[in-house]
Order: sequence, then C-alpha cells, then structure tokens
Amino acid sequence: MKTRPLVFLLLLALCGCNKDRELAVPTAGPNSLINETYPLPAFSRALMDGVYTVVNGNQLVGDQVIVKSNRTHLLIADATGNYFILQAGYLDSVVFLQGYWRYGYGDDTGLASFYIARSEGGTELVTGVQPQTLILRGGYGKGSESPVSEITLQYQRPFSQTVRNSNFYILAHRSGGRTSDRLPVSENTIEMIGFTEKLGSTGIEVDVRLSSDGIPFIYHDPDINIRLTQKGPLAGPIENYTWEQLSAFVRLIHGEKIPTLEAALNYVVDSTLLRFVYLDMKANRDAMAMVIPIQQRILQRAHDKGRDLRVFVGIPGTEVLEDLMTYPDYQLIPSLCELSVDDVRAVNAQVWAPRWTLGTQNDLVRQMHDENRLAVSWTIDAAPWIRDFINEGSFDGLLTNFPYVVAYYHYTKE
Amino acid sequence: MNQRKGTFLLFLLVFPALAFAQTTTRIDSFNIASSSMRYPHQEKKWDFRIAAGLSMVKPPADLLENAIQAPLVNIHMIFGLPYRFSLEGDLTTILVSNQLALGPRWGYAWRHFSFNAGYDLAFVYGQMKVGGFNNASVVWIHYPSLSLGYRLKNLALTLKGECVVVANISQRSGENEITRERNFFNGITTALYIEQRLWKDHVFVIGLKDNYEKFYWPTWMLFSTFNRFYHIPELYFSWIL
Repeated sequence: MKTRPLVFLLLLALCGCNKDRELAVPTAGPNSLINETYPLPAFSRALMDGVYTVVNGNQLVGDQVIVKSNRTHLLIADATGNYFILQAGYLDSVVFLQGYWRYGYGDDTGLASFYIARSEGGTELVTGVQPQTLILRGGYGKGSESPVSEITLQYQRPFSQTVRNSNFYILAHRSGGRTSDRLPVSENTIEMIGFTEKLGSTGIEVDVRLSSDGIPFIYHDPDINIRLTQKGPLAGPIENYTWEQLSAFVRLIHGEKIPTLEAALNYVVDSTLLRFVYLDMKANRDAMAMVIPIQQRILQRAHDKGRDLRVFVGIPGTEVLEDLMTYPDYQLIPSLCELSVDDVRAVNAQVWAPRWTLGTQNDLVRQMHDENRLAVSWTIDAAPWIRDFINEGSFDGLLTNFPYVVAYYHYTKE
Repeated sequence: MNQRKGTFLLFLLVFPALAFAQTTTRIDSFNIASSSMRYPHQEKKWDFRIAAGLSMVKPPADLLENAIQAPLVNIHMIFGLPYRFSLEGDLTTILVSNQLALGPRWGYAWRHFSFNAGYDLAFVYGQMKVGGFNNASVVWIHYPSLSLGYRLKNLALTLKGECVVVANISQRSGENEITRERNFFNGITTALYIEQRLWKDHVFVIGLKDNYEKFYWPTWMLFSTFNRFYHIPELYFSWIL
C-alpha cells in the first residue's frame, strides 16, 4: 500500500502534455476605425520613413525608434526587440495607424493605434508631400486591452545618406521567421514569405529538403514532429515520403501546407519585394541536380518581370560543396558558401557566409568585396551583437530571427 | 479491488526490486528521517551520505528542436554539521554540461514535519564542439531554497522550492565571447520528492520537479536568445547508497 505514491508519481510523469505554444495576435476587431478609412498609398507611407524620438511611451520602446514602410504596412522598431506592425489609412487628412506591438524575444504583445493630425503632418502625407513636422500620437495596451497607455513619436531625421545608398540585406531565417518565435504563421511556408516583409526583412533563407520522389520542398527539421506540424498520420524522417504523401497528410502548426521550393520561389517573385533568397540545402542526399534547374527558372522569371532578385544555392558543408562541383559549369551557378574563403574561391561563390561567432572578420570581408563578392553573416540574434556587427562590421547583410532588430540598427546608422 | 491489483502489477513490472519488499518479522528500528536525502531532516553531526540517480528532462521544443535527449546523471551528498546545520553537495552531468552545487542547510523538526532553509552556489561548466568550433560555457548560479517535509514510518514526502538567480554567464565560441550576462532572476523550481523504504534500510527516491526558468543550464549549447520562461519538467530517480 505504501508504494502507491511512487506509482502515482510515475504515471503522472508519463502522462504529461504539451503546452500550447501559440501566441494570439491582438486585433481590434471588424469595427475598428481603420476599416472606415481609405488605405494610405505606398508612396505616402514611404514619406514616414525615418528615425523618431519617443516623446512619451519610453517605458515600452526606449528613447528612439525607426519607422519603415514596407509593401503593405508600417514597421516601428526599437533597439531591444519591440516592434509594431501597423496598417495605415486616412480620413479627412488625418492619418490613422492601427495594429499591434510585440516584444520579439518574449511573448508580450498588445493592441496599438496612432493618428497624425492634419497640422502635424497628416495633410502633407495624404497629398504626397514630405511633411515638415511629423508627430504620431497614440496608445498601446497589453493583450486585448484597449490601447490606452500613451505613446508619442516625433520625426527626428530621415535615414542617413549612407543607409539610403547601401544595398544592405536584412535576411530572415526559415523563410521569414521561426515557428518557435510564436509568429502568426508557420516557418518555411508561403504564408511566412508573405508576412516577413512586415518584420523589416528584405531577403529570406529557406531550408530545402527532397521528397523520396525527388521534389524539393521547404522544411527545417529532418523528421515530422509536433514542434512544426499538427498531429497527423505520418511520422519519422520527412524525406522518406513522396511529395504526394506530404502534400496530402502534413499540415504545419498554423494549418498551412508544406510548399514545394518552386511554389515558394514563384511567390517570392510574383508577390513580394524581397531581393535575396538563400537556399539552405538540408537534403539528406544530393539535391543540386533538382534544385539548380528551379533556381535557373526562378532567376529567369524574376528577370522577365524586372525584379531585382538574387537566389543563391547554399553550401553549408563539404558534402554539398562536392555535390555542386559535380554539376556542369558549377562556377557559373549563383551560390553562397558558408565554408572558408578558399572554398568560396574554388566554387566561385558570389556570397561568403561565415558563422557570426567568428566575429566581424573585416579583413576577409574586404577581400571578398575586392573580388566582387558579397559577405553575409548568420545567424545573429542577440541585439547587442547585431548592433556591433552593423556598426563595426562591413557585411552586406545579416541573417537573423529578429529582422526588426537588424532593421533598427541598420536604419539608425549615421 | 481490481484497480488495486492492476496498480500493484504495474509497480512490479516497473520496479522488480520491489519483489523483495521489506518484512518486519523482527524489531524494526528503521527511521525514514535519518535514512533519506531530500527530506529536510537534521543530519547527524559528521555523518556523510550519498545518493546516485538519474533525471529525465523534457526541454521545451522551442529550445531543443531536433537535438538528441539524454538523461542527466546526479550524485547528491549530505554532510552533518553541529547546531542543526548540514552541508549539501550536488553534481549533475551530461558530460557536455555539468553543474556542481554546494551549500549549507539549517533544519528544524516538529513531530512528523520537518523544515529547512538552504542556499547553494552552483558552478556550471560545459564544453562542446559544434560545426568545427569549440564552444564553452561558464555559469555561476545562486539557489536559495526552502523545503518542507512530512514523514510516515517508511515514507517521506518533501516539497522543495528554489529561487534561481544567475550571477554570471559567459559563453565562448572559439576565441570569441558571445554571451555575457550578469545578475538576473532566472525563475523558480518546485519539486516533490517521495522517499520510500524498499527493504531493510534501502531507500529509493522519486521526484517530480518543475523548472520554471528562462535559461536552463543543460541546454547552454543552444545559445538561446528567447527571453521567456518555460516550464521544464524533470523526473528524478535516485538510490541512497
């Protein structure tokens, strides 16, 4: 009888459950004011780009933020990982911004809304003229609470000439964001590719795997698991299944289908303004022969549409390097090499991509620049390191899970 | 009745050692309080005892992704001191990550209850080669704790709560120090331990622990940048030697 507690504890331990790892995006609902406004055109949104002083609301975002327009929304980001994603509309020369804020390294989030009065820049923005004065007044809340905590942002300066002339790439991991960062869409999906520009990304990395019948698709882990997918009938190594099986039976955490590589890249060309795609070759067997023709078709499609898009096959290790070197004219294939600069030269990779823990390596980056190659570093996430790499390094881009932090430090650069 | 039989059969399957359950044909002077490790008793002056065990941990999927999971090996020691004090030491290891904790306890007993307050200073050292880089981690952690115990003749229950304050983290990859953080509240742990006499003076310990923490030291090599608390359940077994 006295052994019962032991048995009970054991059973309890074996019957654990997974905590829900989703984070709801706060929404003001269908009756929100923004739905009563006219959408603010892209050129007007772009007039708001700049560095802003936080007049009040510093408790949330510190003393300075950037505002950066993108294809559909406005991003406000600070130095520590807080960001706002806002829709913009106008009514009677008053501009309204509505959306939500989020602390990217944690789970804090809430509603946010701003307005720009006629006399504080609203009239100029609506008429497409750069305002002399630009003040965003508004509020934010916690969770689904009303956004009643005051926040006021005052335009301080435009992005510097250095920033505007640079071709710096803000590269987001896993097609734009990780599932573990509790974003509203799953990693490595078409939906994430459509979402990531709102976070400030100008390029993406995608993880390429190969189905058992030779179809390249995008997915990170080697196996089907409940970290990335909803429970379903398939389990085990994902590359053991045919594309038809994966398409029919696997749904990602937020219900999306796994996309083929080609569908994902077509979406990049047709529906985004992303400028850089890094194909991280994760396939367990030689995949170059399947991936390179897709890369060529996508580059041709981008060229035909007048898109400034670069797509690189990644070389993360010597096996993939050797696989690429078996391909005819491999030195003409646009590639990104994570190995040594000697390997970069051997394969004529256009991009050298060292791991960030090796430091800024400015001498080697300069050598790459002298040889007309780009250099990007991966995967750098901690805000202090992002700051140091941007201010002290000379990379052409950074791969990160926190593109809004990279955006803040890049756009505030003098 | 059938349920009881089922439970008993399950227990026999899981712990064959119980087939040798204790008998009490002679006068039994066994006292669980002085034969336990986690129960907050007052250890007899200058006595030393040691337990060896394993901890099965389920780190959060956000952190672990597709890494291999392995149990932690644990050695726990108590050394009795005068004036109701004792000294406890704890070594936990998965080879690439190791924690050594040492600290005093002061205890008080009243009838079937017992209580102690303690403090441990822990040193964590980890080393692992990943992708051709030598990564290493050095961490200092404070663990102030409180334990409350209740005992029967052959069984002791202990509820333990700890506060986890990280004094310093330094992580290196090759030549570069890539993380340095100091003095932050890292969370709390709560644990329930059951110490059960099996036969003669042999005592087996089972514990369930919830580590509610941001930085979980065995996973240092993941270099997580998540700034959120996770519940990390831990199932602990040990054998008092």
